[in-house]
Amino acid sequence: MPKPKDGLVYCSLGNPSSFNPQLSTSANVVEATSMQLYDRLMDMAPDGRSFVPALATSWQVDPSGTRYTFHLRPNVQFHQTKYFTPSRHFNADDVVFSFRRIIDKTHPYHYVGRSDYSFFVSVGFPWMVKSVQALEEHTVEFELFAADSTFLSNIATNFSVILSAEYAAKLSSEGQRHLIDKLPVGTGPFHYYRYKEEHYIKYRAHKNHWRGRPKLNEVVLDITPNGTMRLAKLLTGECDAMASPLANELALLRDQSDFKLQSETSFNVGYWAFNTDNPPLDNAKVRRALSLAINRDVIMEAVFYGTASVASTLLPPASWGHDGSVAGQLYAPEQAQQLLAEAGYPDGFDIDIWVLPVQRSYNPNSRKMALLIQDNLRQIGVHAHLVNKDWNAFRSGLSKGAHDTVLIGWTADNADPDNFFRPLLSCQAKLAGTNRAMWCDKYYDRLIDLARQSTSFEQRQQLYSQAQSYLAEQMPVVPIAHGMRTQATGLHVNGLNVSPFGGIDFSSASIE
Amino acid sequence: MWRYFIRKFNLLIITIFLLSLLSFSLLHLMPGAPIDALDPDSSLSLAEKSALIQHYALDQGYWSQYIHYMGNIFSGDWGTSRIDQIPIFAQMINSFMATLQLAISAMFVAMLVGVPLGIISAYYHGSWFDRGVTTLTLIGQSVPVFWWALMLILIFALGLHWLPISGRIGLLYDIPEVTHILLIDIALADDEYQRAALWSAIRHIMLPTLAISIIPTTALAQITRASLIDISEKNYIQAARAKGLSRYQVLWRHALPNYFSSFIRHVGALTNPLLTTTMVVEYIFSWPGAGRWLIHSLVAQDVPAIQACMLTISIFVICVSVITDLLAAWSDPQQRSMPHG
Repeated sequence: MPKPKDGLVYCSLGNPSSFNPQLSTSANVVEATSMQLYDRLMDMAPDGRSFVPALATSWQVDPSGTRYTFHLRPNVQFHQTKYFTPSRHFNADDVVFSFRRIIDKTHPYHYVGRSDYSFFVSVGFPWMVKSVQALEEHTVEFELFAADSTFLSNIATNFSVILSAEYAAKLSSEGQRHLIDKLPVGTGPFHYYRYKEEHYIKYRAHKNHWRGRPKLNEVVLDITPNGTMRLAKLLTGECDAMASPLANELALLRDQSDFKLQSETSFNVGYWAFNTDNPPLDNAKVRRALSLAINRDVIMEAVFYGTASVASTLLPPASWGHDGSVAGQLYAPEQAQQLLAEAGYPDGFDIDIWVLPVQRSYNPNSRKMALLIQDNLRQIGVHAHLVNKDWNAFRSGLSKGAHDTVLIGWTADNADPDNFFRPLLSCQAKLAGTNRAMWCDKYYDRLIDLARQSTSFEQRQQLYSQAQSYLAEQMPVVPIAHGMRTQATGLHVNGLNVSPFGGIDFSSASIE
Repeated sequence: MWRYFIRKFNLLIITIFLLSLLSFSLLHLMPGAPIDALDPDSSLSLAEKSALIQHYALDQGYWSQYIHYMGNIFSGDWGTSRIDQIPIFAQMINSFMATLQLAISAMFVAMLVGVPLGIISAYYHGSWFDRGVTTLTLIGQSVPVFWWALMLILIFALGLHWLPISGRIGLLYDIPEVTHILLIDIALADDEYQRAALWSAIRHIMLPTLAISIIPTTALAQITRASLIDISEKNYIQAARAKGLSRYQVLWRHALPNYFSSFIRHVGALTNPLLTTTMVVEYIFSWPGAGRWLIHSLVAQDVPAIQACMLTISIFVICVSVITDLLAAWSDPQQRSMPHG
């Protein structure tokens, strides 16, 4: 069948709630918008250890570590769309606008979109950055309250995109501010063309993109939340590529010769969190005992079908902070029983396990995993009850701490180890409602705070090692697996790579 | 004929009035205050809420609210969808046209296949062919349509890779919506890929049409067969046979014209099951029609959209039934005086 040339259809995960990734941490938004519509000041290199210049060509830090100066790329054009024609090129005002919107509560756009900027709040960005100023047309300075080694990582995430200040001013003058996140304008390789909720998003190539014109003329995201349906559409050729095939469908795809399957270790971790506010889970011995009772090998085989690696700590092995000397958890039910007896529970007890109601690469089948764990626990006399809830009730229940234990996970937004340790287990995260272990430990918080303030790489590495050993001893969560991100594409698609940080980038993709 | 027409027309007006009352009261039947039904997540600001109250005249009495509601409906202002802020009227036209397109093509297939099947099996009444058709229609009527749909997908899409399974057209084609009837829109579009787009649209409509058409096809085959057998036992047919006309001539000259005078009524009676089936199948094939829209609106508790969908579909079904009655009466004077007509 003849097809319009140079267009690609991608079966995506779901409706984006907005076209601005600053506002939401949802995977749907990131996938649909970040890499397509926008650029960042800098990007994370695929190895997660260095930065690549993007809209900023270079940057410097002053000796105190609190002033960052970015030199911006000249001659970068914003999208020309049906609703906006830019009259000037990208400059420092756009950077100032994009970040002030987030950190400055008096900014006219701060409350537009009714977002709490969850990513930026979860990493403490508004309390990290004191001011953003344009020094010259192409020079921007960020002033921080205190030296912070995570600042650059946060600037390079999928969420730190650059919007157009000119477009914002135009919308303001028309009284249509809310359109800024619905009819987006950015500098990215594709521009917005059409969107039909629950159906599709159509993007067209941004011909004057500063990296050069993308090879594809058009990208269509076919919104298909159902995983089986995505696979079916790939098989019938309605989609050229699809997001996250389910683990149990991978075998089927491997047998098909007309598709290629790509996978990439990802910066995520699936874990089993204990509500440390609830006895007997407030006892570290009990938590260690439960961890020793789990047979990970069976889980890896039955739940992940070989699409994951066993987690020994919260950090994936690919992270520079990973401490390989922290031994992975063993499967030792006798030792577990002994620990329980020492803790005063020789006859076991009853707990519940909340089951993650969605599929994620760090846990593609939470129910099966829960059943396996339930069986393991029975052998040491602990009776586990599975709790199934729908997504919204699940999340609100967890934030309140209504659970005993929960199977859940985390996908990092950037490769900095702080992005694992802080949002998951810090006291701040307990207040923010993202700490599923309800764990608040002064010593641990001190370790990660020190690591964040330090500018010495070796010192940070050492501090994170300490944090990992401490976690292995306290066991507020049992790390289970690091899932791989997978993607299936037709053989005619080239240059579409899996990003370890989520999202997908069509700018270098092409169709044969 | 005029008296009959007026009687039918009155019935139509009264039914539509009752339906509009029902659709109007939906907002009040939802648990909680009407404004909570319009804003179940309480995500609206005070200004937006008061705009909504203004729009639905919620600060006034029931009757004046109803009159306000009807005024809005007639002026084409059906409110905006809570989910995506698109005017409901535009969305309704769009999705209803998509549904209609699917339903009509399924009905077309049903007439093309079901009626001849019924005729042949009545003609060879009692033969193996007749028994085969009877068995097939029984199976077709009793197996749920979503199972058929899944089987079709399994065979023609996943197995043979012949046909696509979702949507109305390949997503890379960009057809401007003018008439909302896709095939006409493609013909109007000045696109270099016009032919390819047309082919893509036809391929997309095939599987859902097949799935839907099973119910009306088997129903029509059954009705045709039964009616013809019934007619062939009538005295005038027996007389014609006795006069020496062949079975074929009797069928062609006497039985069939007699049957077709009531045919339009049968088709009218199939409208309701046809639309219901279409809405189920739409969901399976991600066809952007009224059924899919209704299910999304129900899940999202988008009351104005549910109201609009209910009102449009029910009015459509009633209109079709009245029109087919009128057509039947026009072609066959006997039916005008039927007491239940």
